[in-house]
Amino acid sequence: MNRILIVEDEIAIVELIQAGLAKAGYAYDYALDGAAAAEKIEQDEYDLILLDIMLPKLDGYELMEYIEPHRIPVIFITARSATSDKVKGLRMGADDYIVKPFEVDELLARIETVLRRYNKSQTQLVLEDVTIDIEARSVIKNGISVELTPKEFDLLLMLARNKNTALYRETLFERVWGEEFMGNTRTLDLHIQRLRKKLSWQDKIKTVYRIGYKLEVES
Amino acid sequence: MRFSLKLVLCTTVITALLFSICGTIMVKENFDRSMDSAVKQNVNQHTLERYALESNMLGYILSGEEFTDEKLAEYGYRLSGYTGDKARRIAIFTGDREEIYSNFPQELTGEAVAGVLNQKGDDYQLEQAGDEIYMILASYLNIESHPVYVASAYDVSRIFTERDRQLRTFLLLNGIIIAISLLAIFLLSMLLTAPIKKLNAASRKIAKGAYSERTRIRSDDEVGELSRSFDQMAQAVEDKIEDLNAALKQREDFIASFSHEIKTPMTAIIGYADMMRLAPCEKDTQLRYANYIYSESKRLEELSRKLMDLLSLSEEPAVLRPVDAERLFYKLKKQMEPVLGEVSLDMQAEKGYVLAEETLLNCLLRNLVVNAKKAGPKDGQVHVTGTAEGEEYRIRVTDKGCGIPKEELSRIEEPFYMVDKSRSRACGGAGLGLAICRKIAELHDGKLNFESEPGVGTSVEIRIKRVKQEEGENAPQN
Repeated sequence: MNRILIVEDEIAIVELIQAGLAKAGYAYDYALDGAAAAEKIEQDEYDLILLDIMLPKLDGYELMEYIEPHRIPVIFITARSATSDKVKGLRMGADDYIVKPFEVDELLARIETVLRRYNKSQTQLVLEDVTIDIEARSVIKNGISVELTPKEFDLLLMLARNKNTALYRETLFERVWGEEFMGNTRTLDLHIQRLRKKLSWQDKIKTVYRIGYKLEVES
Repeated sequence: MRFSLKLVLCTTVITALLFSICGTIMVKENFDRSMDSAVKQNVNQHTLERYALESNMLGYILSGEEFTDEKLAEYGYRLSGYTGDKARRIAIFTGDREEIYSNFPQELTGEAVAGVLNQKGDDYQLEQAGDEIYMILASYLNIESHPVYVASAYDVSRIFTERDRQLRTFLLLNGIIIAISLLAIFLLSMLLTAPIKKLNAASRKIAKGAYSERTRIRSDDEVGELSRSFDQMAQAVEDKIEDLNAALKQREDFIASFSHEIKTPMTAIIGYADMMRLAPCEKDTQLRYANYIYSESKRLEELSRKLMDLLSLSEEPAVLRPVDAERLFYKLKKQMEPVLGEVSLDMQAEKGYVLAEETLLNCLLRNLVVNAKKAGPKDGQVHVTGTAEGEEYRIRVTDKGCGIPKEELSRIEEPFYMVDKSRSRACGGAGLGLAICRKIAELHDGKLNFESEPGVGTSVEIRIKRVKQEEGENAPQN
């Protein structure tokens, strides 16, 4: 399991990120200022660091110099969106750069990309008899490859990542199709039906009354 | 046309003109004088010749011989033979103007000479014969009732050639003078326009952005003055540019801080709201997320409110009126006590009237008191004192709270700057309070003075102008 250090002085944001990380299955830890962060890096092992640039006591850039020797991948979080700041951050050795306000999903996607680069990511999701290869975008059930359209795959991935959680129909649609939900229930429902059929998961992909859908699997 | 060229041309033209005029006058003078003396001399000569002729003829007559034209011609021949043809040109005519004898050159024909014979007195006529010019003088003689015209021709070519020679010399000199003066003026104009070129070069450099360029021509003349003025102007421009750059940087910093202050709560609000709409959460999680959304939104509200205050302060100049200090403090106490909670307000104010904008000054004091409270005073008090000192009224807000480190003191009035971010944010602060106070202080023609020691406490002071007792009492208070 990958362990991620959150270095951010706003506790609200820390909790937000933690909720996201928990859902994605990462272990996490946090530090509210540069000095505490430096200590934690000394004491524990981390697979990735999320670093806010504007920190009290030691700012993000200075902390970078401290992190370098440990060779831990770093993603900068900051409100400064100027190109010069991005360039500075990347030049200083950050692996990626995300600007506030961000959506947690975007952050998770970037974390995944960076971890993959360092060969630390989970490239596969195993759910009972189905294995999803995230990088190859392929699905294997009981050893046999299953053909899914791109949207079907994305939908499955979404359900898999939020396994055993009921997801609201509208938001699910928005995430997968990238459009605002304007009553296009048919599209979503059809895709769900097809997924159920192709994976023979009629009893696993459940309809949740008044809410949406949920993938129920044993962890 | 270039200035230096103008200078050169004008000077040279004037010099040449003057020189020409002088030269011409001089040559003419010489010529006239030569001519005059030639005329005098020739007239004398002619008179002598006349006399000689007359004497000769009279001799004939007296010796009883007949006066004939032949005798006249003979005289002519004899004279020519005696003196040589060229030396004495003489022509003798009858009373009817018929030529008897002449050794005038070929070209001086009858018509030319005939004209002369009509002249009176010392009038002469100039006639050109080939390369020579002759002055012809003529007289009428009446020798014993025999009319005779005698004309003499004198070679005055020399006068003319002399004149021409002088003219040529003069032209040559003129040419040389012009050439020399051209050169001299050119060099001079280069010398004089050099500072102008320098000024030009400096202007161009400054226009390109080298604002510290100066001309530094320190001659004691108009050009030196111009250079000094120019340098002063350049300095003013440089200063202004520096000010503008500083202001620009300040603004950029402000915007950067501001956007950071906005983006962070927005991230939380968007993040939590998003999580809540993705999947149904447990009731207590939902409540926690909703609380975060609420508190971050309130933070944004506070921020926008304070920002509005700050911006509106920049707009209007404050109208200062006499304000009763006691009333000011009393109002402050009433407003602040319910808000301060466990912290109490210790207020001591001397009587006096200050020149202030009541609402703004009140806002300033409220901000200071709130800051004092947030510092967590050990004695649970915020002390506010007002003392009348001569022309000024001094207000102090003191606390025995956490204090401010010395390095940060210079920055606390910056917009959005917070010494202890987490604590400030926890109290709902946006970092704008002191920026607003500073603005208000400026509007009152004063500034805030901070004294602080970490762990001991902080004291903030402002001095405002006082107003005389009577003036204050007469002013309307609302």
